[in-house]
Amino acid sequence: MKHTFRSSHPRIKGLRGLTVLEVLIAVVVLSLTSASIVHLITAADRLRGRRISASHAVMAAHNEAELVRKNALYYDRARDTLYEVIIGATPFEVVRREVAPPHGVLGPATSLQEMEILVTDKRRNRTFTFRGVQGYPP
Amino acid sequence: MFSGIRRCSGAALPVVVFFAAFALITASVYIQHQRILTLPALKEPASFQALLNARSGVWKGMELLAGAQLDTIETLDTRDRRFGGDLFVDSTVDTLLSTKLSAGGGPVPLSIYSCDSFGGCEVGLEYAGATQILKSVGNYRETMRHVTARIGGKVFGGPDTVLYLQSASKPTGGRIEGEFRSTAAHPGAPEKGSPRQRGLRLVREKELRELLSDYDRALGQAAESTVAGTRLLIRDSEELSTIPDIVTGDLFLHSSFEGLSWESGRTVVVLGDLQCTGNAPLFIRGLRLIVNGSAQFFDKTVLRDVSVFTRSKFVLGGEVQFGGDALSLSDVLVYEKAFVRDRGTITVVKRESRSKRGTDTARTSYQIDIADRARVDGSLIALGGAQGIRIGPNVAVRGLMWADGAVCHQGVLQGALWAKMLVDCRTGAVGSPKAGVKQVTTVVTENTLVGTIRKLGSFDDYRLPFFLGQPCIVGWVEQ
Repeated sequence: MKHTFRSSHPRIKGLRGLTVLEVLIAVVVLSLTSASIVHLITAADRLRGRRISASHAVMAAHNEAELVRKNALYYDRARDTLYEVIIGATPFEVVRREVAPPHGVLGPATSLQEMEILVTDKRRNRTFTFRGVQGYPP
Repeated sequence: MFSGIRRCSGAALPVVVFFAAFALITASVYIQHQRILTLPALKEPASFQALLNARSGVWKGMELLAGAQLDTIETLDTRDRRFGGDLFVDSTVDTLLSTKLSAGGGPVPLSIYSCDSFGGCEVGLEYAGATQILKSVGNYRETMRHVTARIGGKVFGGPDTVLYLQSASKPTGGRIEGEFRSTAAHPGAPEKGSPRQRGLRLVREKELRELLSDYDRALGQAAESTVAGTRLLIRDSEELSTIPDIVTGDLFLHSSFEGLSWESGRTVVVLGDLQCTGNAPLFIRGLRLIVNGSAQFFDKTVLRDVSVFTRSKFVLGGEVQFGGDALSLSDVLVYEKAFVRDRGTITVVKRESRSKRGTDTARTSYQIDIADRARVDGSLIALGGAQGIRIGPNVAVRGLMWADGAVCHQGVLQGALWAKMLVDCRTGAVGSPKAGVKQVTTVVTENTLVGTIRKLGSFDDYRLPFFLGQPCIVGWVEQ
């Protein structure tokens, strides 16, 4: 496999060259490496996206839950709502809706309100669903 | 230059492999870094849902405490794992039908939603002096969050009303800067009896009875587990750590040479009397003191966040500062320059069994006596006695006063007053007031006010013990 690069130049005489096979193997290794790196970077980017999406969704849901708590202090019962908010550069859709309270022989428990908060990352089309009960003073 | 090429001859593959390995390692480190950053963030939704569950548990617990034991069989969502199952063999069916929450009864698992895929919570109730602590642990998947709510009581009144009396006659004398309201005018309320007998539901007897039983139990267990001991005298800080959880005799704390500081979250049961004195400052914080005898604090004692229960007298004298809550089954005397601060509460309860004794029916001393130049920033509550509260002429009170019996108010009150009647106790009562000293009173035919009552803007911030009024949340901590 060893070939000598022959040159008329006296100082290049005896220098070995690269075979086609060597170059081919190098290209294959390089390609595989590049593909792996691209895959890894894509995965890392996806992870980063999920992290940001989850963080921002929780932030939006937290904001909504705090709003309900604040209004409850003034006996203001939460009503269903739907709005869009941009956090960072990502649009999120926030839905808050009341889940029907359990009914019994004495009727629904009016001092408690079970509600659901849905936050959708519209760019990644990912929805986070939370549920909670808010109490109201008698 | 060519000599260098000669040395590198045929090295293309090793060079490529080297750089490829380097690039792969770099990329792996990058993705690991992203993964490390992402993992906690991916747990955020679960953590938030667990927090919502813990909060929901507090509200469900409040619903149970308010007396609304779950009257309904909960509805099941189609996503619930119990949907379609046989409820009659489900072990959780008992908790669906009746859930009881009681102090010291251990945590109770609550099903909070119509769908169990959002997790659940456990709620427990504990006594903390005049308040209750509702602890809720929310869980979702493997995440747990804790919410602790402190529960007190709240009396709802008109914003401008400062005086509530059972009789319809407006008091004569004194000065009222606000509105007067007769509780007898409540529709449907009978004319006779104390407020708690008249359906106003200010005193929640069951909770009060359970609290007193809890104290009785603690004292009874302490007395059974130990033999009667001698008095314990503490003079310096090093000796404070030697105080046992159960003091079999009297406990004296005296700070004559150096200041004493006793800060602890402990519960200490004293089977004898408790007395704190000394010329140097004596600082006590965070303790829960259950005293079989009397609890007396004098001189420069400062009590913060302290809960005191005493079967006998509770006395604050000298320059004592008291912040916390006290519950006495006998009398309370606050005199000299003593100061009840930080919206503290002082409650005296006269038990039914004690009032039936022959000597007690003839007693004319006041359950709570605030004298000299004492100041109060908090709540004074006298339950079950005919003579409720006496406020001296130079006393300033900010907060609320509530009495089942009569109140003699000669000082300045900024806040609101609930009482059966107002009397003038100056007639015949002379000398330095002391708890338990009989005072001559005249037959009351009308309400008489001697002092002044003013409106207080921040009245809603004053809390009552949890067994009075409507239960409400007075503190909230999330972890």
